[in-house]
Amino acid sequence: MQGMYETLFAALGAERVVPFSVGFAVLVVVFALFAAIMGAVVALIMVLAERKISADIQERIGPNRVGPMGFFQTVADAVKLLTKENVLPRKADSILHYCAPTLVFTGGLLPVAAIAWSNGIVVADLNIGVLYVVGTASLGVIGRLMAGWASNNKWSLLGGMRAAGQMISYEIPNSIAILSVIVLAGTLNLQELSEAQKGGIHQWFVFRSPFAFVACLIYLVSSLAEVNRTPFDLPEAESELVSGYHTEYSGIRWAIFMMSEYIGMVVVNAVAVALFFGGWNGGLPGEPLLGGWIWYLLKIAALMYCQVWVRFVLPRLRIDQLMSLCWNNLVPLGFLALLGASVQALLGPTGQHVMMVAAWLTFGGFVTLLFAAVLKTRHVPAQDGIPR
Amino acid sequence: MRAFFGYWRGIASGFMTTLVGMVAAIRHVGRKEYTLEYPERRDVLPPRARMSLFMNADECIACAQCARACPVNCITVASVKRPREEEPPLTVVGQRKKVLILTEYKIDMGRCCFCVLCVEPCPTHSLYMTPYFEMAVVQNAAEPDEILREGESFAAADARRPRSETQVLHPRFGRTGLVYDFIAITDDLRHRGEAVPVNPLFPEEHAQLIQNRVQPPSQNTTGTKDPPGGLN
Amino acid sequence: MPFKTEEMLLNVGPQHPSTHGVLHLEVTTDGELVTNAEPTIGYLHRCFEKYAETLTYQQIIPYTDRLDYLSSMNNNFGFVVAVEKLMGINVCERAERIRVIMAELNRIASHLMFIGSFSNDLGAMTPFLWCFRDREEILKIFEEVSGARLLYNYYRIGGLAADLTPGIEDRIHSFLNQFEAHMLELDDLFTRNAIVIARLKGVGMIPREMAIAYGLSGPMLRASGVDWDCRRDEPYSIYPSLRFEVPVGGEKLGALGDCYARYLVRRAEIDQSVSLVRQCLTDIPPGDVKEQVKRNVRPPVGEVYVRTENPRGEIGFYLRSDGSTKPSRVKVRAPSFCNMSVFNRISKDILVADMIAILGSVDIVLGEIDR
Repeated sequence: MQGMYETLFAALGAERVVPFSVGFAVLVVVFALFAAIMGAVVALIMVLAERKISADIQERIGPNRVGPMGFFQTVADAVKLLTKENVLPRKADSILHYCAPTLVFTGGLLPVAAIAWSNGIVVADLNIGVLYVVGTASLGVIGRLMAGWASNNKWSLLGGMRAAGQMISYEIPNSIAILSVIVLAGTLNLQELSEAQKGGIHQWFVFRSPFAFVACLIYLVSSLAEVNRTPFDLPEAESELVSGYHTEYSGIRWAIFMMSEYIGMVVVNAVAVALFFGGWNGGLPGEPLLGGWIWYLLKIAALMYCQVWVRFVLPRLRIDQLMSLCWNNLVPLGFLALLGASVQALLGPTGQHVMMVAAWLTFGGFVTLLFAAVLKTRHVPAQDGIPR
Repeated sequence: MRAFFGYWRGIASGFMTTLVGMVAAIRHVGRKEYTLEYPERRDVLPPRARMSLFMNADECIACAQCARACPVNCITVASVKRPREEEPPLTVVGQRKKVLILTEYKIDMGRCCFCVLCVEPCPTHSLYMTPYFEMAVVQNAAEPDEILREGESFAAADARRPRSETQVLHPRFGRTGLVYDFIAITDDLRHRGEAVPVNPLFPEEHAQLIQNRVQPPSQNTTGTKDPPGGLN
Repeated sequence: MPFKTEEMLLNVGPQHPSTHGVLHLEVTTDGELVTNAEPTIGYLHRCFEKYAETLTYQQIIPYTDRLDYLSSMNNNFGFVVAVEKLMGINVCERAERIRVIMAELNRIASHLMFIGSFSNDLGAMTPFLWCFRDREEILKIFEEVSGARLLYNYYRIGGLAADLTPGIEDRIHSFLNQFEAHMLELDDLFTRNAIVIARLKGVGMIPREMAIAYGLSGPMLRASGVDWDCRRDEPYSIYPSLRFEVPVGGEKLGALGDCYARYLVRRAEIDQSVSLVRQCLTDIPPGDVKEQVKRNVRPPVGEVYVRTENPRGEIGFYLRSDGSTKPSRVKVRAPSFCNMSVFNRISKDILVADMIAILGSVDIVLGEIDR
């Protein structure tokens, strides 16, 4: 279980100085700090990427003032947020108001520990990794509810309530979708999940079982809702609730909310990659080229792009439609997928091959729909803007 | 049964609508941006652009039709009768006799609603809209003001603070806050040997005005850089 | 201890992202459910009607710009038509053509603004920017012709402030061609989006009778299935000689009187306006468009009420002249004001998100409501 630490410990030649247990503790702290810093860096990059992608879609330029191509824009923003005053509304519950962002951030950061970035690179190689990720990720609900309550603001309260209702509801299809793959793989360990998908693209669960494919779509939808992104951004619906549960936050506390949102995106996509898209495996048989973590990050980046892309396409759902989508559509569909996956888990090798064909057929159907979508959108001749 | 099909149709339509939207959106990636990055790149404003008023006091016959036309009363005109024995000079445009001597011509730009009703009756085209829209000047504790100080000569003011590039043609001196004193502004331009902004609607007639201006011998340096009707 | 619940009073606006200006809504909510929404107006009151009595007829025109500042051309149009009717002036064909071109372009710009802000209210950001991109082109055309981008003051009693600039016809044509393609893209992204339909279908229903009873007008009225358009049914200017359809909610355009029907009616009106501009642009006759009246007009003693079709509905100008250069009474029937009156009625027992959608679909401009 402590393979990575033992290797590192030996490589540093530290066993002559301190006993392994002490070194282990130090290394864990170092990794935790590293994860927190990486979280901030990811948030910085993601904010910039999001603004650039939206600018692309909306025929704008996006940030381009600070640094080359506006690369340091978010750094400048972060500095601004750090130096900004933390405003506490009068009659707000100061302790809860203060704790809420921290709790949300903790909930966002804790799951990072269990994620297997590459073969052997994992902070905590837990045998219940998936369970741990799902459990800790839902800590954020409490923080959001606290923020909504403590702000002494009706908009915040509504936002906090919406956040709680939404995130708790979407845990269920989320978990069912995860369960479908767990049933197939027979392990909760994220490292072993990646291990199970070794040997080329056809070994990825999404291409191994049509039920995993369906579960994957359910997971992607419900993970959008988990991290409060459009079309499920009701808790912070700008046009309705001003800013939802973080209306009354400013400065670094507000930034922490934003950071945890982006870390949450990374986490849900990392889990999606580990479960459905082969983890740290490359698309080819054999050891991944250039190290598994590159593949892992690339896959996460691709999924993140899709999440950002969807954000600038769809309008927001209404609260009753959101709940109806979860309970009426995703949960039954999830149970079907789980049932199918359970049956598949009992099949022999021939059955597995049949299922693989079925998965590819499902994928073919998906691609057909995509082509249909391309044909359905009207093609407008290429242009360089309206003549000025 | 209907509910069963309705369920699947609902899922399919939600799925399809997302795909269609995503395709429609991604087709815009890589198109030319519409953003105009203002201080670096500027649109060429059309000649009719109504951005700021200019009044050439040399050409004014003090008829005060502009002040009467103004719906917000932002124009103040005062004049005295020219002595009978004096031969009234003629305006360049329209050859009108300047029977009255203009003593005060102020426009409160803070009140002005840029409706051009004052410009339309002007018989000598001396009051007109220009496409220059950068009316802001620096005036705070750190920067010495750009506005002419009490009793200060133009030369002294010039030495104190040279003209910034973005305000090539806009009057710096002769305004108090947003009240523009166009007699002082015209004097300022004459002192500098700069031409008045061309009336974009009557550029030919105004070309004469520019030629008629007496140029000071040595310090004619800046002049009008801009063609009529636009910056850059 | 008994479990106690109570209704919550929520102040939406005047500083709120979705109130489209300085509107204030006193909303009583029961959790997510809105039980009552009471609009409070008057934050932008400028005393237009009283102040107009101190101005000459020409001087009122720039003030009409500021009523519905998203469709200044149409406001100018209505006022100018009223004064001309009072004075019995006829305007030359060329001027009327240009008036209609500008009014219809402004209608497109105003509806683009509606679609943009409406989509933003629903949480979709991209249509907003796509619409503003096209609106910008229209504003540039206006800037070239009238000199201003928002408050044009372009129409004059008996004519126009200035003729078209050379080459502007081609520019308008090329804009319209590009614009139609852009609208098809918008349909793909927004109009036929299943979430948009789910959000808007059946929300904020205004039945036909209610629409008439509340004095609604414009797209709000037509979405409820009343086939009424001032341009066709009480014609002014050269509209009788132009061919256009009046989009009415109902069979073709969604359910009757819901938010989606109101959206679709406006979307269809954009297409009609494009066709109107094209019709007017072909073979504009020559002529002098400058005003043919004295500078200080003195209409004969009398009164007149003229209603014209603004993007938001009928704008009515009532003028009473005592024979002097200034009107003795001016009254404006503001379409947004009348359309807003139904808001309280239809925003009961709905969700907060629906209330925002309904408010967006009414398409108010506070400058006009408060005047």
